[in-house]
Amino acid sequence: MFSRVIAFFVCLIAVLLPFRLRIVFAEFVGWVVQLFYGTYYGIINFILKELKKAEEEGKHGGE
Amino acid sequence: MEENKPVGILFSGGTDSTLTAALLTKEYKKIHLITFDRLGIFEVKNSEKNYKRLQDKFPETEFVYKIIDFNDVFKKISYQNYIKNLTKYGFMNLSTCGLCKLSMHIAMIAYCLENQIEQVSDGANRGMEIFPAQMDIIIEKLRDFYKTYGISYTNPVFDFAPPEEKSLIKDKEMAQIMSGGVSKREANYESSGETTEQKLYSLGLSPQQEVKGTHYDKKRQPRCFQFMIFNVYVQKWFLPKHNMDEYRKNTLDFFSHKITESKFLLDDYQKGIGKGIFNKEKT
Repeated sequence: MFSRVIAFFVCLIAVLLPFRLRIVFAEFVGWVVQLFYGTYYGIINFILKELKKAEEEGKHGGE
Repeated sequence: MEENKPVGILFSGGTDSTLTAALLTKEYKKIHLITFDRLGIFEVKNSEKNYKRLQDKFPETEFVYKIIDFNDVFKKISYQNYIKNLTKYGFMNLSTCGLCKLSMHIAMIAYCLENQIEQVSDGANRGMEIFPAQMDIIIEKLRDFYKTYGISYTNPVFDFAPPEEKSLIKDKEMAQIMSGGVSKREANYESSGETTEQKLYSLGLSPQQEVKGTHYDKKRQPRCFQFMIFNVYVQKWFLPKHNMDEYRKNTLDFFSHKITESKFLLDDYQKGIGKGIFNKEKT
């Protein structure tokens, strides 16, 4: 629901913008999303890596 | 072989359009590779790398590589009768990728009329049907549109298998858990069959079987973030409350209207009016 509200406002702004400004706005949104997902997946990958490491250490410790 | 007839390809330099060009070398001796440029599209010259690779691989074929500025065409198609279209179609006017591709097709028709080309192809593939110009129902509309100008429009790689959906998360199992066990593409299509990137690899035009989304691939085609607004509209606004069939229907309505509406640009072009917005070749 929250993401739909944000989507509505992003679309509302975009639809009202003239040609050049809409292009700049899309570019801005693109970089923001890229930054957000980059950070998100970076953290997830880090957690997964650490979990695997801990799992392997646990296995070796149990032997 | 269509010895004397040239073919035009909407060429981004990516795997799909490069494979399209490679496959057409069997039928055509002269191939026009047209890369389109406008405000918001960056690193357009990247497409030149795969043009050179194609020319080296198929020396018996004459490749004509051109970058054409279609900014004015895109602007006219996106904003003509805007208030009227806004009240009728709402946020569908943010379907930038579809409008951009439609503008490329319009510009391509003008190029074909200028250069006596009767056949046009592109790298449309069924795996990307969220994009209007890759949707079978829109492609049919475009085919009819091309036909009115005596041009045949084909999609040689349309039935190739879509590539496996890639995740930024390295652990594939985790990615599957997070996406509900099955990716959207796998849910819609069978994953069996050769993909365009595998075919390109087997032809010796690519260094590895999976290149889509890699650094190598990104350096061979233009970069564009303009799909972001379209993506927000479709994925976050429209599809959470509607189904895919409704999306397809709305897209068909909007683009059928847009195709009809855009016809005047080419009619004017044929009459010699407004020729300046077409065939603006970049060096």
